[in-house]
Amino acid sequence: MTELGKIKLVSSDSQEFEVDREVAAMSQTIKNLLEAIEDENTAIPIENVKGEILERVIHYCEHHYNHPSPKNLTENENEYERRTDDIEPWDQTFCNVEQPILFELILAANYLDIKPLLDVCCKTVANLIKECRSPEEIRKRFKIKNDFTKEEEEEIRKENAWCLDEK
Amino acid sequence: MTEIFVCGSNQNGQLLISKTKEPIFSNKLIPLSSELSKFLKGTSVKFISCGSTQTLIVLKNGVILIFGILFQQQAMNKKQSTKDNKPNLIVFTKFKKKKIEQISTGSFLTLLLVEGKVWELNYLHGISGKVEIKQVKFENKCTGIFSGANYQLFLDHKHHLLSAGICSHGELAHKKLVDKVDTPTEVISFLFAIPQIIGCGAQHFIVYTYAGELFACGKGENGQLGTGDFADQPKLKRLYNKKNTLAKFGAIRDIACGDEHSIILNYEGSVFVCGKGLAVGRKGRPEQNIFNNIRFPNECSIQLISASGGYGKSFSLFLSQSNDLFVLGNLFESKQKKIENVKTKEKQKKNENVNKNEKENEIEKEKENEKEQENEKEQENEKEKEKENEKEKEKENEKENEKEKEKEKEIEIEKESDSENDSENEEKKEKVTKPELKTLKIPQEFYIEQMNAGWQHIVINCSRVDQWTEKEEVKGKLKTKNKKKKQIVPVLGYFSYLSPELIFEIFGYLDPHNLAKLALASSEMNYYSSHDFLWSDLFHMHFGPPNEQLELQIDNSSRINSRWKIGFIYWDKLKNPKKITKKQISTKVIKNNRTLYQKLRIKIFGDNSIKALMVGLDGVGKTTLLYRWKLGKTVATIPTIGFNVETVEYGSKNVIIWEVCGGDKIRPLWRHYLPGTQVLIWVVDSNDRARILESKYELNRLLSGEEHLLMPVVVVCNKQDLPNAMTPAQIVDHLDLLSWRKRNWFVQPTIAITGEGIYKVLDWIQNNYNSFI
Repeated sequence: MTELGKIKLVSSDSQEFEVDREVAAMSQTIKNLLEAIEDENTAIPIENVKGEILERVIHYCEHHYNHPSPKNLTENENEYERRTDDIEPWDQTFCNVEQPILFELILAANYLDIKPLLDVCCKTVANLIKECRSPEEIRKRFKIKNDFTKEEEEEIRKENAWCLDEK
Repeated sequence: MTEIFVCGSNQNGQLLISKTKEPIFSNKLIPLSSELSKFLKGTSVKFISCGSTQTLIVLKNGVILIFGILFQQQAMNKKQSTKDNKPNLIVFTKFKKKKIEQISTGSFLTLLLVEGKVWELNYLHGISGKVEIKQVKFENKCTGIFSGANYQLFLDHKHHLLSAGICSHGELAHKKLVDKVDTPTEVISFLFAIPQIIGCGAQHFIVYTYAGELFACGKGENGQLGTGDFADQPKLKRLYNKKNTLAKFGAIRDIACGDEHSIILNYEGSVFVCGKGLAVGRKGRPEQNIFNNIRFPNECSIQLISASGGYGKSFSLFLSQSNDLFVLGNLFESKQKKIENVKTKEKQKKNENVNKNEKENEIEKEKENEKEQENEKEQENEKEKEKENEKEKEKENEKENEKEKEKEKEIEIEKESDSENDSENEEKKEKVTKPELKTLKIPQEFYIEQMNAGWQHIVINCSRVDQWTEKEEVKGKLKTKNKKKKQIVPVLGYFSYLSPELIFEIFGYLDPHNLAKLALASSEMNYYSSHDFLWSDLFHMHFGPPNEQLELQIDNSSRINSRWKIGFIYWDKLKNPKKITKKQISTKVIKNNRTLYQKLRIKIFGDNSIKALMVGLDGVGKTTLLYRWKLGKTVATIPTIGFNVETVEYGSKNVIIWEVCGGDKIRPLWRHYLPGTQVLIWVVDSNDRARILESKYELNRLLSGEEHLLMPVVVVCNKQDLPNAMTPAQIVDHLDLLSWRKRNWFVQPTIAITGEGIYKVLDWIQNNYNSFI
C-alpha cells in the first residue's frame, strides 16, 4: 500500500520510487496516465527511464514543486531571442553532471513531458556548445568523430566563413 | 582516420609488401597506412576491390591505386634485379576529381562506373606494368556493374540486366549458348524481374528481384546455385518464388558468390550458404546444393559478407554486428601437392581462355600475337618461380597452421551431415576436412567499413574509432549499461541519444556563429546545424518579419549568405503557402510574432494538436498528399530532401504532419521521428506491385519496437486512379495487416491529385490518435 496522496513509479531497471502525486503530476505524461488509471495503488512503469535518471528527475520535480519559479513562462514566449543565460543557480548545479547523464535527462524530460526541465537541460547543452571556441573543441566535448576529408572541411569552412569571422 | 588491412597471399604483390621483408603468405592482418600515407593525405578511401590477384583502392578524390599485378622486378623482365623488390604500384589519375560510383573486379578486368559511363581496365598486358583502359559501349545510362571471373553484368537505368564476356557454363544467360559476347547484350528478361541485389561469383550469379524472387544462373558443379542439383543453368532459373523466399530467408540484405559457393544474408543477420567447402555436406550430398542456415559462435548476427576463392582456395568473410571478422573456408590451409596440380590446370585453362579472347580480338595483328607468346613464356617462367615460392610458403603455413588449428572453432550446423564415405574417387584423396571458422583479430579501435577478397588475399578498409570508446568502458557500471543499450554513432557523438526534434530544440538556442562551428564538426552535425528549419528561425530573429525592403537588401548584399536566402524562402513557404500579396504578408506576420519554432514546440508539447508521422517508400505521393491537405490543391513536387512539416487545421484538433523523405538511405532514420508520434500515416503506391513487399518490410521494420505496439496506423492506398492499381483488400493482404492483433489500424484508398478520400484519413486520425503520448 502506498501512502495517501503518493504514487509509485517503477523505472526501466525496476527500481521503485514513491512520489507525491502532485509532484509527479508535473510530468504531463504521468498526469495523463493518472487520469486514465483508476486504481491508485498500481505502480506506474516508466519504461524509457532508468532508475538513476528517474531519481534525478524526481529530485528536480520536488525542488521545483516546493520552490515554484517566480518567472511566468508565458512572458518569455513573446520574445524573439531565445536566451540561454537565464538558468537559475539551483538548476545550474542540477545540470552540472556528466554529459551522458545530461543527455539521458533530456530524453527523460521529453518522454515525461516536463517542459521546464527540458528547457533547462537544452539550454545547458547549448551553453556547452557556446563555450567551445573551435570545432575541434566541440568534437572533443561531445565525442563526435570527424568524418570529413580535408577538402570537404574546407568547403564547409568557406560556406560558413561569413559567420565564423563575425566574432 | 582510415586504415587498410591486408592478409593472404603476396605472390604478385597484392599485399603491397616487399618480397624481401615479409613472408609471401601472411596469416595475420597487415596494416598498410605507412605505404599509402602519401596518397591518403587530404582524402580517404572510397572503395576497395579485389580481382584475382590485383588490389584496387579508389580514393575519394578519384585517384585509383592498383597493385598486385606484378613485382617491379618481374615487370622489368628480370633484367634489373633491384635490391628492394617492391610491388608495382600503379597510380591511376584519369578519373581524378570525377565521381566514381561503383567498381567491380573480375579475374583480369576491372569495371568502373564513372558518372553513368562504364570503363574497363584490362590487366592482360599487365606484364609490362601497364593497364589498358577503354570505354565500354553502352546505349543507355548504366546504373550498376558486377564482375565475375570472365564475364560482366550490367544494369541500365531501365532496370534491364545485360551481360558480356566469356561464357563457359552458361553464365551469360543469353538465348543461344555463345562462347563470347563483346558488347553488353540484354539477358532474357523475366516477368516482374527488376533486379534488386545481384551476387556475382566466378562462374555463376544469383539475383534477388524487387518482386521478392530469387534467380540463379551459371555453373552448378558444386551445388553453388542452390537449385537442388549439380547441373549448369544456361538460363536464369527461378529458385524460390516470393512466398518461399520470404519464408526461407526473410528480407534479403545481401548476396555474395564465390568460386564454388553462394551466401545469402538477411536483415536479421542470419546467413544461408550453399556450395562447396561450407560445412554443409560435401560433394554429392543433398545438403550441399540447397541453401542452409549456418550459425556462428555466440549466436552473433552478421552485418557484412564477402565471398571469393580461386586457385583451389575457396573462402568467405563474415563480419558480425559486434565487429568480429570470421573467415570460413580454406584460405589458410595448406593442401600440399594437390593444389599445385589444380593450380596449374586452372592456369592452363585460364590461359586458353585468354588466348581465345585475344585471338578473336586481334586476328589481324599478328605482331601482337607474337608479343603475347613472349608474354606466355614469361608467364611460364613465373609459374616456375611461383611454384618455388609456394613450396616455401607451404612450409611456413604448415607450422602456423598447427598452432592455429588448436584455436579453431567449429561451426554448429543446423542439419548435421552424416560423415560417411564418399563414393567418388576424387573425394577420397582429399582429407575429410571440416570447414573451419577462424576469427581474424582486428585491433579494437578499428571498425570495418568494407571488405573484399581476391583469389587468395583479403583487403579490409577500416575506420578508427576515437579513443573515447575505451575510456567509457573503464568508467562505471552506468556507462557500460549505456553502451549495451545505445550504440553511440561516432559522427553524432552524444547527440545520437536524441531524436532530430530534440537536436533542433537545442540548436534553436544557438546563433549562426555557433551553428557554423557545429557544422564543421562532422557530416551529420553539418546536416542538422545547416537545416533550413533552424535558419528560417534565425533569420526571423535577426531581421524581424520579412518584407519587401528586406528582400531587396538580401538580393543586393553579397555579404549575406545564400543560407539566409534559403531561410527566407523556406520561412515564406511555410508561413504563406498560398500566394499572397506582400501587404498581406506583413499584416499576417504581425499577428504571428512568435518564432516559428516556439510556435511549433508549443503545438507539439501542448495540447490541441496531434503529431502525425507520414512515411512510405519514395515516390508514393506523400508530399502531394501533404499539400493537398494543407492547401486544398495539387502542387508540383520534387523528391523531398529531409522532411516537410505542416499543420493541417481540420476538425477539432490540428494535425501536425511530419512528412519524411522516403529514399532508401534515409529509411533507417525514420524511427528517430517516432518518439512523440501519435499516429502513423503509411502511404503506399497502389500501382507499384514490384515494391509492395519492400513497403511491407519497411513498415514492419519501423514498427518493430515494443513501444510502438499500440501506435495507430493509417495505411493510405494512394494512386487508386491508375488502371492497374491494387485494391485496398489486396494491399491489406500484401502488407499482412491482419496479423496486427493489438494495433488500431485503418485502410483508406485515395487519389491524392484529385483529393478523393483524403479527408477520411484526417477524420480517422481525429478519433483514433494515441492520446497518451
